[in-house]
Amino acid sequence: MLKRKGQVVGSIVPGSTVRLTPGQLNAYTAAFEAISPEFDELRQMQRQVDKLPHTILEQPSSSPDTVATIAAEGIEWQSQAQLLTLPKSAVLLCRHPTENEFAIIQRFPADSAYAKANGQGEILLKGADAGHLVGEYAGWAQHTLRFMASNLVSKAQCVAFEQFPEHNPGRVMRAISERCLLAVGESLTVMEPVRQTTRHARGIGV
Amino acid sequence: MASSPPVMNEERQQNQPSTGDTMASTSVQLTVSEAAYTIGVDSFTILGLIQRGKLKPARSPSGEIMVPKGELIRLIEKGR
Repeated sequence: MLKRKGQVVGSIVPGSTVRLTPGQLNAYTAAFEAISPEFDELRQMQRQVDKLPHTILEQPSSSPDTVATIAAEGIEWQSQAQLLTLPKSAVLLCRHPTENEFAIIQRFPADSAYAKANGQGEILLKGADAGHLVGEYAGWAQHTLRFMASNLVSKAQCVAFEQFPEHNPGRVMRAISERCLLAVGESLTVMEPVRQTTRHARGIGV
Repeated sequence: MASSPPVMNEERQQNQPSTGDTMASTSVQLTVSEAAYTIGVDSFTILGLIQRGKLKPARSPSGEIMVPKGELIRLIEKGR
């Protein structure tokens, strides 16, 4: 059985290859709990973003008499497909009522302070090619998810380092980083530090 | 997903000196989820606003993104 400083080194947490001691596992659990609701939101968002490239194909355009409209920048845009469902808003692919133009519009609930100030519909992207627009938005959304994952790591780090400084918080954070990055489709490749061996060359230098 | 209001930490103050803002509360910094709750959006939207340059963030000592309350007020007032 592998042991480090007298403790069994064996626990592997989901989404990580790092082995944690029982003390480190406690630190991991506490740090991860601090980000757990947002981590669930992140995973749920990632699942939707993964499906984005297919969304436009799966959702046929609504017939003109059933189409929903969204006002943004003084235009009544026609909703074509719902791209993302967020906890407090939705992102939709919309079409200009008269011109060959598409827009990615985020729709907020009317009672939110943001909507009261900026309107219920906010245009994120505009273009003539709906497929290209959705692809561009998918890249943008993926970037936001990476940003979200990195922010969760920083949040968890605060708990690990402040509350468990004696349990190798760096190792704990490596496990959390791996899990968060994996959730947004990335892997963290951390090279183990190469042990430098000192060669005492005698005579001819090597 | 139902979300409960995050607990605001009124003690967190912005590191930068005030830029003439007379509202004491504007120097308070909020986490991303607190900021989202305050203006009725989600965390994803707050991070998107930061990426698009509509919100200027700060950082906590651990590197966590913080949103100065004054920035939120500016964002809402600018839209009106």
